[in-house]
Amino acid sequence: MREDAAVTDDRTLPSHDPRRSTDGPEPDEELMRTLYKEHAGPLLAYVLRLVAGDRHRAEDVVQETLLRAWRNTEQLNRATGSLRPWLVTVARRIVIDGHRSRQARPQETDAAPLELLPAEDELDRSLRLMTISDAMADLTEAHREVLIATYFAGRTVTEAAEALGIPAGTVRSRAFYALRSLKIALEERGVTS
Amino acid sequence: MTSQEQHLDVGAYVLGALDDAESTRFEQHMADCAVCTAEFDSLMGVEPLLAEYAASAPDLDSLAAEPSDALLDRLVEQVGATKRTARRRRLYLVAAAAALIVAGPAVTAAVTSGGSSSPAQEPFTHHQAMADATDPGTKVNAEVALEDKPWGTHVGLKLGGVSGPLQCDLVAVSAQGQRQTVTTWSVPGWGYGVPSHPDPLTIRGGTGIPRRDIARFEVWTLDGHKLVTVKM
Repeated sequence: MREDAAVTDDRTLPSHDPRRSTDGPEPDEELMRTLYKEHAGPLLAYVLRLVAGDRHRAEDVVQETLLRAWRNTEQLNRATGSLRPWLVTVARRIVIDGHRSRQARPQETDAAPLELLPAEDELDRSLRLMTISDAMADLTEAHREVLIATYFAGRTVTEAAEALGIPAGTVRSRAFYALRSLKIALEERGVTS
Repeated sequence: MTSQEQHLDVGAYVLGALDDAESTRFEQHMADCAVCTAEFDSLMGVEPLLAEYAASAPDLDSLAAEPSDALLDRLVEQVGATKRTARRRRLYLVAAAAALIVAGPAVTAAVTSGGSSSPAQEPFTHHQAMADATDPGTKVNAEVALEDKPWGTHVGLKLGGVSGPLQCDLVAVSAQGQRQTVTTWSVPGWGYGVPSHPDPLTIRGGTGIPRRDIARFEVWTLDGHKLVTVKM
C-alpha cells in the first residue's frame, strides 16, 4: 500500500527543514519529532511571556500549536521561509482565545491582553527573542546555568558560586566561555545588538 | 590572582558579576592588557541581547524552562491516533476498491468472507425464497436467498467448499431457459468454506428475471466447469 506523501515537492527544502519528508517507516511521527526539536523550546519561551510564566498553560498552547502545524503541513509546504511567523501567530491566537474564555470567569487573574496586539514590530521582536532562545539552547547545561545564576539572577561570582555549590574560579571561567559560545551562537543566527 | 586567571574575569565583568573591589582590579588590569581589552570589545555586544532577553522573561524559572518530555510524548500520541484513524479509513477504501475490481460487471456486488454484519447479508435477512444444494461431484455447496425488487430479483449467494485460484459466475436460469449472469467473482488459493478457511463466500447481485420465473441457479467457473446447481 502506498503511503500518502506528507509533502508535495520537498527537494528544494534544506535537509533540516521539518517540512521535508523523511523516508522512515513513520514519516508523520518523524515530522512531529522534528517540529518539536526545532521549535518547541523557543516557542515555549515565547508563550511563557504571554501567559505570565504559567508553565502548564504554556505547554498546552505549545502542544496545540505544534499539532496544528503538523496537520497543516500541506499548506505550510507552499509557504516559503521559516515556519516561525506562522507558529508565533497561531500560538498568540490560542492564548488570546484562551484569555477571552477566562474573562468570563472573573475569579481567575491573568496577564493583561494589551501586549498581545498583533503588530509587525511585535512579530519581529518575538522572532528575535525566539532566536536568542535558540542560541541559549546551543550552550551546554553548565554554561547556561552559570549565565542564569549570575546575570539573570543578579548575583556576583561569589554569590553564584555559593548558590551553585561550585568554586568561584569555576564560575569565572564558565562565565567567560559561556559568553564566548553565546556570541558565536548569536552570530551564526544573524542576531546582533 | 595570576594574570592567567585575571583574563578569565572579562566574562564575569561583562555580566556585571564582579563586586566593586573585583571590578576595580579588573579595570586596572585591562588598562595594561591588550588581550583583555580586545576580548571585552568582542563580548560586550552580547550583554544588550541578554538584557533584552531577561526583560522579556516573566520570571527566572521561565528563562531556564525547557519543554517537558511529556509534551513530546503527548504530541507523538496524538499523531499516532490521527494516523491510526487515517490508516483504518485507507484500509476500508482499499477493501472496497478490491471488491469493485473482483466483482466484474455487477457493480452492486459486495464481497466479504461472511460472518460480519454487512450489506451482503441482506437477501439472507429479507428474502421471499431460499434454497441450497451441494454438488456430489465437486462437493461445492451453495445457498441462495432471493428478494423481490421492482427491477427484478436481488440474489444473495453463500458458497463453500471451493478452492482457488478460480474465477466464477452465478447464473440465473428462467423457466423459459433465459440465462442471466447475477455476479462474477474470483476465489483465492485458500478458498472458501474449507477446513483451513471455513467462512463461506458471501456475495450478492441482481437479475432482471422476476423471482417466480427463476427455475434454478448455476455456479460456473469462467473456463467452463459447472460447480453446483441450486434448484428453486
